[in-house]
Amino acid sequence: MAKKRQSQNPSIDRCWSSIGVWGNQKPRCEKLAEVVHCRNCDVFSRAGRGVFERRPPTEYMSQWRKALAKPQRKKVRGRRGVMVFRLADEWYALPVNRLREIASLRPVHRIPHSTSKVVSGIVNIGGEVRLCYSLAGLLGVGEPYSKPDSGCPRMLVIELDDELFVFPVNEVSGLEHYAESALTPPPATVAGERREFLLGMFSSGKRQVALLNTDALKHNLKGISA
Amino acid sequence: MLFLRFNLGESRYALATHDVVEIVPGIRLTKLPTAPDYVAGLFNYRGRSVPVIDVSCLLLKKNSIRRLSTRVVLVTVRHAAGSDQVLGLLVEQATETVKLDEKLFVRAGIQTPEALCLGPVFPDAEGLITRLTPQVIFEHMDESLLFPASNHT
Repeated sequence: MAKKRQSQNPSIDRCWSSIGVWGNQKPRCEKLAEVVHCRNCDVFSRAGRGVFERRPPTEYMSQWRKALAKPQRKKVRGRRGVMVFRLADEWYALPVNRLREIASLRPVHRIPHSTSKVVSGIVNIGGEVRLCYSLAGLLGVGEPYSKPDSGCPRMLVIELDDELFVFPVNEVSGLEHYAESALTPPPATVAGERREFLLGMFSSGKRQVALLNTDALKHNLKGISA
Repeated sequence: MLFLRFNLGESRYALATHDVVEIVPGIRLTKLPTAPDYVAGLFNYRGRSVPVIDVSCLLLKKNSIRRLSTRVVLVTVRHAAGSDQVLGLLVEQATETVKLDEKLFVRAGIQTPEALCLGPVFPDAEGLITRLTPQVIFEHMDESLLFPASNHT
């Protein structure tokens, strides 16, 4: 501790130690009327910069010297952000700029006399009544809740053409990036109508993620709600 | 416009951030034995050899003090022949950036042969901030050091 005291710059007046950062002590620092807390005060921030007036530690400098000698990694162009989520056993992704909210799972109220596989009911999102769709039903993945699931189910709210669509998913993995050049066509086993919903596949770690085609989704979901 | 503010001795200077490639800590440099005093040395910057100029030594004839805040500002300078080179500028107390209105810079009001390098000044509450451009620092030093006429590399 004694050593630490010595290394401190004697020219810094540690005024905040005597008056208190909130200025509850008397007499109160005049500057606090304006800045409220010491962290907003230029005296405090100038003293903070005093940290940089020390002699440079040798290890830190040699670390930097090694880091700077390494060639710069080239940035991969055309990387896009997607939100990756799971429906039953399959991983899907949607462009992150379409995502509006990841909501907790909430009750879906069935619409009487509705037998649609795609519209599962109505749901309360932020105090507004929204139709709740079943993306699993649309894609023919199978019911998300048909068997016990280890994931953490969520409701995704996405925006397509100024309209919000809500659907439940089994699990949200998070934000990921893929390079457009790394996109591969969907496997041949995915045929027919389902194929139009997929833009392609990309691999993320061990799993294969299918990128959804928002235009096809929009076209199909809008037809239902109308 | 955003400026990097730093000190040379007691005076305050500013360098436009669009001139700056990167700011790195003042790492230990490889000394060049026969070079002028203001050439602080060389270092390996991503596989290239980049010379570092001690700006304080060049302009004030006083070596920079080695502190954490003494940093190397990497800038690109253009040789008269048109080739670019990355140059490191060793400056003291490069700890903050400030937004200054370019139009509020005024002429220094004095022009001496020694002060050729110094640009317009910005008056503020604490005094004056002098604007530096990498190009004038480069022109102030011996050009043949950086671009030997016979040996272009």
